[in-house]
Amino acid sequence: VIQLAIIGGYLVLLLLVGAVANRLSRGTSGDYMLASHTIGPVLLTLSLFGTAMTAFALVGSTGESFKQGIGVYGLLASSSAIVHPLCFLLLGVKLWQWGHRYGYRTQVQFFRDRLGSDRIGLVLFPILVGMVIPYLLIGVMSAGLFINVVTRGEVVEGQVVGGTFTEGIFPAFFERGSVDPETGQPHGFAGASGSRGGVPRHVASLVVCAIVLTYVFFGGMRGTAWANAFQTTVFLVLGGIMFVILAHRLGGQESLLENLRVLGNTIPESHRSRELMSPTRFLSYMLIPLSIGMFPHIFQHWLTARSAATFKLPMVMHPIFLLVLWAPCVLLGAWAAGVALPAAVASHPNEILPFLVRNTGSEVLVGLLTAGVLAAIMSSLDSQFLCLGTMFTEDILVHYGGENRFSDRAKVWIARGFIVLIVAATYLLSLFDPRQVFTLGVWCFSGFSSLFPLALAAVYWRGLTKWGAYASVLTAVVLWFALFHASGYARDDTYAFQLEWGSVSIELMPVVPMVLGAAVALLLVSLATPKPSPERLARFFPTRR
Amino acid sequence: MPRAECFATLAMFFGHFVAYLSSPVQLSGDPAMKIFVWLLVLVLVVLHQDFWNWRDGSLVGGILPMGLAYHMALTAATAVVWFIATRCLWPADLEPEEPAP
Repeated sequence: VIQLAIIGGYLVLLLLVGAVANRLSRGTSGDYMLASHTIGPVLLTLSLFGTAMTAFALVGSTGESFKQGIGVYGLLASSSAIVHPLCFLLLGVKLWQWGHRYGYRTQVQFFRDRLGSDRIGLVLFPILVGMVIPYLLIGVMSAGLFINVVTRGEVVEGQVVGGTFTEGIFPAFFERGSVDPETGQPHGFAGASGSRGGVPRHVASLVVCAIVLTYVFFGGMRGTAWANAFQTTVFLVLGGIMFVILAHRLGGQESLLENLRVLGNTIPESHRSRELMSPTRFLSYMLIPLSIGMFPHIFQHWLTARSAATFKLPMVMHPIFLLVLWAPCVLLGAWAAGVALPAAVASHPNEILPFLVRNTGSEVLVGLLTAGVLAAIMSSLDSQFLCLGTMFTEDILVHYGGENRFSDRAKVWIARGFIVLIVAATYLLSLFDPRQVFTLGVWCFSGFSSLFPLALAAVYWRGLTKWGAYASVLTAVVLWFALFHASGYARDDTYAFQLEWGSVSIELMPVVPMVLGAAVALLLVSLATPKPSPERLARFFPTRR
Repeated sequence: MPRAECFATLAMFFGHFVAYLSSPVQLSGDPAMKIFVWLLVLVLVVLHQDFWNWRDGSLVGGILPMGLAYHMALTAATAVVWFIATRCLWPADLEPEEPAP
């Protein structure tokens, strides 16, 4: 009950942030979608980091480290520390400049203008929306799962012991869990996906969706940026506290240093090194963080910056935040690999962190740490909901309905309406329990990465043509589907692209052929097709002297 | 209250750091300096592929596995390189801000 009160209190605080942002709103669509370009360096740093980090940063990193060892840090954290600020520098600053000058609010508006092609919007829009939706589902489902795991009891001889709620408090549909494909019946209250005395997953997801919807609905981008900054601070601080307390709990020694030494020695040999990983797969993983360059919600955050210099602080602080957040989580996962855990927990790596937290025995701590994890999840969800609402409003309704058909105030309400629809659709999709969506996450990131050559060329290459852009996007889509099919539609989560070189077989992430294919198609077709008009190029590139 | 003073000093330092970063001063617009900074970024990418640590399971200070300690240090070095980049690689053609139409 105490932990639920803390989680509830945290969610109410978020609503207050949205309410304050709403009172300070200028009431214009520019303020609702881009905070009137007033976000300063500290707020931009925190909101960009919060948006880029999902549940995976806390829950997934611990689980993956438990499975594969400490190499997970290099796989995603230190590579992102190099690539994310690179994208801020190469793309963010220029796109901010053009967005500020020409009034863009979405990526599609930029590409339509830059390429002089209205139809590129019709190609890009469904792809971008289609790849953000699984990403949204991951957040909604993770939040529900985490709240359930920390509030549920243990199953002893088929009975739930120590749960927060007794059976029958919530409607049976939520308590029984999903349908077992073998028996055709729900798992039941004490079954594998049953609520087991905790807040049912779908109820918890509904509450999280409602909270995020409320502060995004009323606060717009200003509320989202403030909420993100608050949530980033919360998950960084609580992450540190969690690490120290768990180290004490697992190590059982007096001082932190002693605990770290004891626990360091418990890490299995296989998890201390990267012997469980393929070096070429590790290398090719470096292309995954390029996805940040094409995330539509990150694009929208870039446009909120007050000035170009605002980007400098995020560039420097982003790696430091990655270090502070990821290193403790990866270390916790590696420690857990050396500790005897119940088989039911060990077989579900995403449940390692909630299990460790719950085992501290302190309800206050469980509540605070759950708030930290929810902060990481919701700080991405809000930006994605707002971004999709903005895209439907600007790229479809206003673009095809006519700029002058809607008043500025009407645009704000249309965006709000779309946000409500997107939240509702996401929640309904999450009820179908598409577990594959977690594996789909890496595929979505790969898809965004494969659009990176287009973003880079649009910003730096005068020779890019609209035909080159079409070729690049279509090549990326075809390769994505071909490799996705080869992976058994994400059923094989260890799928790798095999490059045969004589007797040597090199294992690469599917993102490599996707990015290379998209880049080659862009280059060849652009070289063979008519260049954009000099007037159009002059809008984006200074005249050569 | 030494702890409060410590936090206040840290906050003041951070404030100065943000102000310094946000200032228009650049260390160098020198093309050679720009090439040097881009080379530093390239070195980071190369150092990220630390195949020499691949099977090293030793513990640094008896606490951190070598591979993790190495990549944590690399992340800190990355922040330093990006700090230098904000001074030396910053685009020169960013015109004064005008409100969006």
